[in-house]
Amino acid sequence: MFNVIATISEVASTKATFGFSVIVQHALTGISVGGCYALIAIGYTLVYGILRLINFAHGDIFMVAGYFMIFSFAVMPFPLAIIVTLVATTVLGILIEKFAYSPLRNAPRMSVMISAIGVSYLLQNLATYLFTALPKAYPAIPGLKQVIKIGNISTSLVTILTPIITILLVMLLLWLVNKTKIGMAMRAVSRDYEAASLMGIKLNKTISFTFAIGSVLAAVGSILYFTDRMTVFPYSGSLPGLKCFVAAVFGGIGSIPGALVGGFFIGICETIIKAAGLSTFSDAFTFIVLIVMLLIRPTGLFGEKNIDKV
Amino acid sequence: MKNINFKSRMNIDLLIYLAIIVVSAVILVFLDMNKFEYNYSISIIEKSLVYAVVALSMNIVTGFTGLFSLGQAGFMALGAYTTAILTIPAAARPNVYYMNGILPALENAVVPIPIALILGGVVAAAFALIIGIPVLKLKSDYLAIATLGFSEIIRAVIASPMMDKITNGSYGLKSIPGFKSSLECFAFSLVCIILMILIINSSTGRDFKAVREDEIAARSVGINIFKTKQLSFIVSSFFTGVGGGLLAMFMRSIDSKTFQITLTYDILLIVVLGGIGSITGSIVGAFFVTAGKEILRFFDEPLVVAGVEIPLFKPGFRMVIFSILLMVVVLFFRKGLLGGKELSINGLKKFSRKKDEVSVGGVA
Amino acid sequence: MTSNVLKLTDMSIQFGGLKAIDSLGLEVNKGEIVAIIGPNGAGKTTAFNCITGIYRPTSGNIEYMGKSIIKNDPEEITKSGIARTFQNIRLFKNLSVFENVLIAVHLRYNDNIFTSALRLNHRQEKDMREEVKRLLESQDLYKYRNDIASSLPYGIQRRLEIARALATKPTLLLLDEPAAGMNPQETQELTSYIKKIRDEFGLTILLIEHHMDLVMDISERIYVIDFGKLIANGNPSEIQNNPKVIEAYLGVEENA
Repeated sequence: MFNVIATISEVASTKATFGFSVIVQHALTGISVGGCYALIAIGYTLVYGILRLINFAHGDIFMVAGYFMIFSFAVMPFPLAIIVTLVATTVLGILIEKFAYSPLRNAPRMSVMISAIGVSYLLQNLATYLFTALPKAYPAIPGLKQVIKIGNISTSLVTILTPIITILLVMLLLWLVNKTKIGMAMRAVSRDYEAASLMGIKLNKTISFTFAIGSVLAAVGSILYFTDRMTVFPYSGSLPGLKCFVAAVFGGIGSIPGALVGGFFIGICETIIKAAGLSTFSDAFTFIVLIVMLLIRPTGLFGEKNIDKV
Repeated sequence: MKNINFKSRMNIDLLIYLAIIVVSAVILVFLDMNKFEYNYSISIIEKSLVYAVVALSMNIVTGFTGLFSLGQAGFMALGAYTTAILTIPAAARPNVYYMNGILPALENAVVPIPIALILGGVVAAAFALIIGIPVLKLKSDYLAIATLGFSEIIRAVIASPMMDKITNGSYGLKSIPGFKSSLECFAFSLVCIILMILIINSSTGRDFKAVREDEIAARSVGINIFKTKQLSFIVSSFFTGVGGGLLAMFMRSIDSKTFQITLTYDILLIVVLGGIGSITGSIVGAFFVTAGKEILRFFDEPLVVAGVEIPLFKPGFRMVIFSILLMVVVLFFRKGLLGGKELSINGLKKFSRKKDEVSVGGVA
Repeated sequence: MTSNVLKLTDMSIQFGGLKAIDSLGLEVNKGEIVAIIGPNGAGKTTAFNCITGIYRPTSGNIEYMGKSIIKNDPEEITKSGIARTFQNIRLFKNLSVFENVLIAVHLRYNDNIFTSALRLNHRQEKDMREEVKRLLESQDLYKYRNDIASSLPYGIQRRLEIARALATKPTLLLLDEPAAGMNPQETQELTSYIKKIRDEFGLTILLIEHHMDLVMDISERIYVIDFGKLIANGNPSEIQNNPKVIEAYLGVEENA
């Protein structure tokens, strides 16, 4: 089967001339990766907004979603498998919050962060134990890998579809946060945790809901991401996870549009760097972005107080 | 009168520690003499010692100064590479750098091991100095992620083709001279650990703790918190660097993959299990985790009892156990196995006495 | 030249749109006990935070011993001789009473990591410990020396915080609601205690307090702040009869 990634890495390794079609192809890949990143970044941003916690396990939830898909796809038709994956990931997210974070509500922040790292460690080790450390093939969802040719440019459907799905989901989420009752509760909790609970908002319910949204978006991101990458292994969530956190910081932690912009920014930059033949630095670049951003504008692009924060 | 009591009590503790050190040394000499028989034990002990150094150094910054830094792997990499580059025998170098050659200046740059270790620490400390200026101004969780980021950047730079002639890029370094005996490893680790304990219990260490407890209160008694944090970060990184050098000597060959985030997490596991802010906790934790991982190795092998294969036992099981242990400690024993306290004879005595006696007394 | 220890001129501080303190002027002379009073949220603690360098005033000046300290950091200000306590007690909670005070004497000794780690400073360390011991004894806290600060009763914690401030050998001591949470009996004791330390340590004291008995008994002069503005100053009897002060505390009749 024709694979976009393969062509791109070829291009990168031979440092081919940057013709128009090559640039467009890179741009498409970048936007597509960025879309996945944005979906994961929203999970970080929502959770940080509410609990002031870097959910180190979020990247691993994304990884486990990959395995959910592999196993459900093997036994049921794909639309059902997708639904099962989304539901299972959501449940996982909620359970993690219940067991690992909620008992530490009043603990020092360092304890909660260590708990998050612990969950990440547990999920990775559990995945290694259950599914071995070897990469497992990700199922090809019918149609998604279909090659689309426009003139010189050939790409797969998933590459085109990812940013569209991302933007649609973000719009849906913004509606949810701004217009519904539970969304209002989320905003209230993120503004002032204690005041919100005094006003009769059910803290635990709101927090669970936030984790549910974050996880379901991570599951969608996971399906799009792994369809493109084609394999899942126990550590495939850890680095994308950290990158997406950086994306969330870049956009302004707590801001949904910020996470979207941050995700696209990191995704596109990373693709450019890889295309320029500097793959070794593509991960380091993300962290340079983080440090520069923290130094010049710790609140991120959209992280101002008057911006719609969750 | 009370002072005399206080002093003699300290002396008893000191004597006991000395006795432990001497006994350990004797045991190690014995093991060294029967190297072939005890090869496996020696390697576990050496690894534990190295991890004890690194865990304690992480504890200085995380447990005693309250800065959640996740840059351990990066600083270890700096120390390890510095030590390796300066100790690989000149004769072996063409063989190590067979792909890309070596920087002419480094061809014969060999220094004695202790100096190489110290330089490894110095390089790590120098980076900490530079990195600390922007990073230490960040709030706790951002500090964690920024140090983690720096650690990854350091790793990427080490592995990059531009560094080929110095770090040998992605090929890594080998032929690093190892420990001549476990006693040598013990001596190096012991010096580091003693120095760190001395620092933690000095007036500088008290400033660290003051910053951890309450930054505003610390400033109100004249402590420059930024400088104190910086000092703690630098000291911690120095010993992390030395620990990295020791790890390089233990492993004899290293590459950039050795120093991934998981290495930092492994050390964090030790610090958390042993107790954040406990010196003895870090040391005991290092042995507990390292030895535990080895002893539990049989969990990773298929276990057949009376012809029936027990299903749980397969590769990865022991790491799952450690992850669960970590979560249990985080959730239910938040202060770690030693609860932020120190193991000492004194403490044991106190433990055995009734509680109210302790609070009233103080003259024991 | 008067013997001003502390002089605030036209000091203002603004947080966003809110002017927390509006051109405050204040003087404290050597050896005086001066009180700042005012309703909750009037900006009293904010003034303390400005004096000790935690906040930087938006405009105006703060002079200590004739020198502007407006650009100094909190630790420099402490070193120059201003010590303070906090409204909601800020001790080093998990450290012992002895350590709490010991840390506060560090600033007067020249130590660095090498001398302290290698114990080259053992003579100094001994002096420091000796000094802490004397201070704790004089403050009747020595018996608690090995107790963890957070385990102490509230009243002892307050006294420990004052002892810690004294350990920095201040010229000017700022006390933020030292009698908060105390019963009349304890407040009475505190009153004589504050006078005692003033005389013993040759201090100048500026304090914030709500207990009017204590304020009227102890202070030589009183400043009254409301909504960030100085509305009155004078000696206790002047303040007690000032209509503006009565208004600020009891509200204007038509509003009531």
